[in-house]
Amino acid sequence: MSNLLIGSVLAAAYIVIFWLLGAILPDRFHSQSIPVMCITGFLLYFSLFQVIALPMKIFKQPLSYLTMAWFGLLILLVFYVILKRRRPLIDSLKNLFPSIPKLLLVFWVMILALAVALLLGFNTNTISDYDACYYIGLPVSSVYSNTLELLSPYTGLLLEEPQHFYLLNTDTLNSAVIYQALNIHPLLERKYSFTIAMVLIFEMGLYLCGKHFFQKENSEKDLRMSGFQKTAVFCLLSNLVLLYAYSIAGVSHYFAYRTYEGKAITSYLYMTLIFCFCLALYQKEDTAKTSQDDLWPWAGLFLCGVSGVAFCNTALFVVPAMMGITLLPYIISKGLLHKHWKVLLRFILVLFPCLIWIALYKLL
Amino acid sequence: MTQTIKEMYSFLAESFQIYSDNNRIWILFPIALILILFLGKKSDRKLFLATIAIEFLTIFNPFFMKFFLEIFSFENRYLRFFWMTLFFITIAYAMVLLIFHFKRVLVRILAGLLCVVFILFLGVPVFWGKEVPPYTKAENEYFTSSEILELSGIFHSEELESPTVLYGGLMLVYRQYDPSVISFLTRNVYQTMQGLSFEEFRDLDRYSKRLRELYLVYYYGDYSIRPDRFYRHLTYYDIDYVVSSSEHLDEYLSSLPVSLLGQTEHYRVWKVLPKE
Repeated sequence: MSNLLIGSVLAAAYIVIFWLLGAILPDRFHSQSIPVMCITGFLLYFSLFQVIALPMKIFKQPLSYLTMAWFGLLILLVFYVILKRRRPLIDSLKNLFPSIPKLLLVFWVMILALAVALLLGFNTNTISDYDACYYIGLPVSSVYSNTLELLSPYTGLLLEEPQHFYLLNTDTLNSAVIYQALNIHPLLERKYSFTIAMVLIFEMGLYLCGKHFFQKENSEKDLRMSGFQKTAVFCLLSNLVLLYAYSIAGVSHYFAYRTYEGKAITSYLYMTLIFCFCLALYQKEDTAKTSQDDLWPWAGLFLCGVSGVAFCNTALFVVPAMMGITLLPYIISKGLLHKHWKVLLRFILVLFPCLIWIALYKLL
Repeated sequence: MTQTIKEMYSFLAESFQIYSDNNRIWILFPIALILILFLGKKSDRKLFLATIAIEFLTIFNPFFMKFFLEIFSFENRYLRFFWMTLFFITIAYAMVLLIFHFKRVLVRILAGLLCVVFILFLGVPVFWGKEVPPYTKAENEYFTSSEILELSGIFHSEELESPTVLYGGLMLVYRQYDPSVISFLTRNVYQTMQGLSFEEFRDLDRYSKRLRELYLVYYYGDYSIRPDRFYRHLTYYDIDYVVSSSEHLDEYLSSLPVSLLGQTEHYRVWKVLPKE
């Protein structure tokens, strides 16, 4: 099988695994929608990976132990979903195609998403060779030495400790685990498969934003139709603005050139997902009274807090700042003014993992 | 205090300038916020406008900025707070509000086209913009250059276990593909050399004289150092292969006990022969 086919299969496998993991959570945490399940599954994947990989990295275990532990867990979780959680999977597929207009919208967004994903997936100009050497050289070196980041990616010399600055980041170990278990080189896995998977998740985030901005579930047929059109135009324009906003320090640069790097993922993906979850809460503000059905955005925010630091240290301050500031007007109006203390409690809960990571960063 | 606020204000302005790189597409951001103010729903106004107001009161507030910078000790990463202004979503959302504000389909189409023209006219595209890093399509299914693959074949042609190689910028690219070679050059030394002139590096006492001489020849092209000295340094550090991309270095090396192991379009790999 050619490398490109393997890479494409891996990109699809990432999305399927995220979708399956999304189904693990109780129904009210994913609203039986494929984009929400994929996004939640992606966040859950890296939250679990962070929780398993970080202690092993700190205690300098061999990479093979992590590979066995991670793939063992993934297999168990997939079996659990197939045996016990088939219903949400089937329902999410049904929800994807309820009507022809929505089918057309989904088809349009998928074409757009795939076009952007392939455009970025085939680009090899990642601008900074230093960072590329870290994000790709590190997993390659970890597999070669069977260590958790104890071989310098630049020189090939053994290190006594993992680099302190990057201690909390584990996403590069995910590539190492994939390489060790499936023999798919990180050059292919990161630059192609992971890039495509991340762009698709990002596009799902944009689609969800459009959906919450414009699609009213209980509205009349004409209004629903108009909502689909608006969502389609919104997805197109968002991509266009992002791809036309080049600056060396800006999000566009990270999105287009360094799509697979941890800090890029924090900049374009996490910020968008956090915004999307907050938007869902704002949209429900007038309709739901802290009912159980509005829990999925909270679950997403919580998982953002847990998994953000897996990608880069900037997430330590950007993720809680984004969550805190974007949610603050909602917390004030819904939580404080309307005295819905549960909202306040949830707000504290979603920020809690970020505080733990900041404390660990200072302590370790 | 006033001085600090002034400093913080100019720091904020500079940071935004660096972040946006004067890309004119940012003009659309405040316009989008105004559009949302008039055309958006109540919840959207709260989400976009109240949030941006809080950002200006907190992370973009010159009164508080120093506090944030000190707490997180991330002065050089302050720019990353700008990630939080999701301009692409804000602009796109405002444009959709504007387009669908009109009732007639034809007017909507015209408004949509106008929005696209604004984006294309004001913005700088990734890959194909002026003074923008170009799009480089993968040249093979290994997602590295074909020359790296050729070099790997050369480095392993003698089946040495973890050969030590002296190469420059390749250090950052080659080991992404093949971790089984040891780069004699370290990231720190390479970065130091990239930032220093020949004279500055020559006078730098951070590294031993032997190491400096090695790099003065290899990196700075100072061929006034006697070849036998350079060869002694190579064997002292047990360097197996030297990669050259310069004809002058090739000429210099050819006077040493080295042999050409192989070559690619841009590189020659010289094997350092053991002392007799």
